[in-house]
Amino acid sequence: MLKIKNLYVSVKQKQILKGVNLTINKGEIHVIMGPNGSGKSTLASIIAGKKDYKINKGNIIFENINLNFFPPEERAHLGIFLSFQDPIEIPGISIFNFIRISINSIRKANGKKEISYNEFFQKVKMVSDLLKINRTFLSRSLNEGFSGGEKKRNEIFQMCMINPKLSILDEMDSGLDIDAIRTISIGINKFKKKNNSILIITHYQRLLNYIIPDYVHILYKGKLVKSGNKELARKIESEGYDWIKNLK
Amino acid sequence: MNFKKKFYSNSRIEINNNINYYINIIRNKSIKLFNKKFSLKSEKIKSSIIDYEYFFPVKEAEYYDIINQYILDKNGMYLFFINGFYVFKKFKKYLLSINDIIINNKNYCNSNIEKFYGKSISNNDILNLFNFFFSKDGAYIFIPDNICFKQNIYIIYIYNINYDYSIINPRNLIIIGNNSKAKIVEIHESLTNKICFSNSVTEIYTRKNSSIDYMKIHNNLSFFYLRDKTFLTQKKNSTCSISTFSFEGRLLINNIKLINLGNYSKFNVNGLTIIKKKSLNKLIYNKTLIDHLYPNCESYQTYKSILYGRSKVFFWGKMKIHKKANHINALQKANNILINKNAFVYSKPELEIYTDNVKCSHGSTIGKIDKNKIFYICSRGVIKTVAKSILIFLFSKEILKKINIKYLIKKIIINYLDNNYINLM
Repeated sequence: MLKIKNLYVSVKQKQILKGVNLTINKGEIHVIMGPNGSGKSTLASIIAGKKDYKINKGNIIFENINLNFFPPEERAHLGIFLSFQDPIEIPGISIFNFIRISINSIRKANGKKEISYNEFFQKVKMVSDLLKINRTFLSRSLNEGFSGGEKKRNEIFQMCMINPKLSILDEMDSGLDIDAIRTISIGINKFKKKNNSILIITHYQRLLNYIIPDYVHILYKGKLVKSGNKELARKIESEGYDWIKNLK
Repeated sequence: MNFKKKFYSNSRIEINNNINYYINIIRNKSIKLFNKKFSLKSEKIKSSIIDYEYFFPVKEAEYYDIINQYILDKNGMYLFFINGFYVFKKFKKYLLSINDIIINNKNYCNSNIEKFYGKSISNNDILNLFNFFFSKDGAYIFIPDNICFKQNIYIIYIYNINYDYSIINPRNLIIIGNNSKAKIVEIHESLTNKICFSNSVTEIYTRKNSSIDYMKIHNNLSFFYLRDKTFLTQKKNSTCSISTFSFEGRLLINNIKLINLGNYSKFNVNGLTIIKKKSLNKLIYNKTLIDHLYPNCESYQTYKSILYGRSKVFFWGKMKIHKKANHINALQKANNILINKNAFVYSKPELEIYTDNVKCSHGSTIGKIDKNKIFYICSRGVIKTVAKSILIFLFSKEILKKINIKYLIKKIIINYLDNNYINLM
């Protein structure tokens, strides 16, 4: 589904990613871990299409389409979703209206009719029950005055409503309490079907108790140093990143 | 022909024709003052200004076809002025133009005019004096004590002028009695593309415990020079709000002056300017002066502007808080978004505070649309141009919310913002 080949990315002449190779197939869950400043968030936002970053070398290929010069909205139309690490406050528009606009514009780009009110309400009801979100929360304006946990919950709610093919969760678990992590990961597990694949960026192994990953990668100084399965995450939790530095 | 001679002869005729002796006295005074003040230093400018043939419009046939387009609110009361002359004479109970009163010679109206006409205006400004002796007509609204006026009142100035360089001087007088309430909308629109100057002066007097909601809309004035000056005097416990919406105009000057004469009064000023891409080289001035003379009052100012093209916006907000005016809560805010590179904004807050026990704040921002916000909306599948228009709409929503008349909000959104977002209000 997603293929990243030998990717070099820089911001203002500073090299951040130095040759990343990654392939994600349909229905897989990948986890990227790594110390601070290793380029995890850069990788997430370059897949979503942020313009501040410059691709010097390499390709991002999604379903046999080269994404290098695609604007972010067209990537979203193809089915890529980025859940932000720190979502931006947009006062004045409610979550409810915002999701309606975004679903309708994705449908319009793919040549479908606009979603009917009835269908939309049923979907909202289903997803908010799944994530245990209060219905009054949805009429608040987007991310304005939200607590850290509410922001993250809002992002996951949007993900479940839009139902993307590839969703990138950038530090979804930071700032959430233990119960919230449990409800959200149960929601993600229910949302995930055979066609959906997920790329999770995280620091802690706790989330992986609920969402079982197929692969765990370690990003260090702009390169994917080591790949493995769930055991690798457990090893990092107990030993830290020092042994990776010694690997070199 | 000499300019001075010309306007002397013109205004003399006017004065002799009028019956109301009080207005005649004011006119005589202002002509004398004008004579003293009107002295330009440079001879070149003087000759170029004076020798020009200016045109003062005369009352023509009444155009009922045009008027019908503007009657959109069925419950509203309308006052129409075409080229500065009063047209519609259907509702006479509370609404009368100044000329009407003079002709009908009603005693209570005359006494009101003597009490209020021209009382809050200082004689230092030449353009105000100019308005004094050339104003031929204008709206006169008097709402007696203890009346809550439910219908919206519309004062509509339509300019259908066929000659360049004409000058029009509308003049409004609005009095709101004790414990009464009113909602007034003033609209200026031009139908032709002639270069004109309109010098309008509005006086508003609110008595004790009264409230007024006054809106000004400047629309379709692409070749117009409009100077709109508003004087407002407030008494005890009254609440006032003035909002100006300027959308098009070669030069628009919105000048608001508040004189606060009572404890526990509240005052709101809102301004929204949207200048579209098509109109180049536009100048808009927003000037406010708020005089706090009495304690325990509140005043809030919010001005927002969205600028395309080569438009320029100036904002001066001045607040004076005198001695003994303690416990005042005053707030001033000016936010501007520049969409093109050539747009220009100058904003200057001024506070003069002579007491210690007050709460005053001011803020001013100028900037582009936030890139991160655009990226956030785009990453959810919304096209970039749509994302921009959503953000512009949300920016102006704060002021649009304060309009109490629903169909006006719709009209503004459809004409000047994207009409897909009416549901978001």
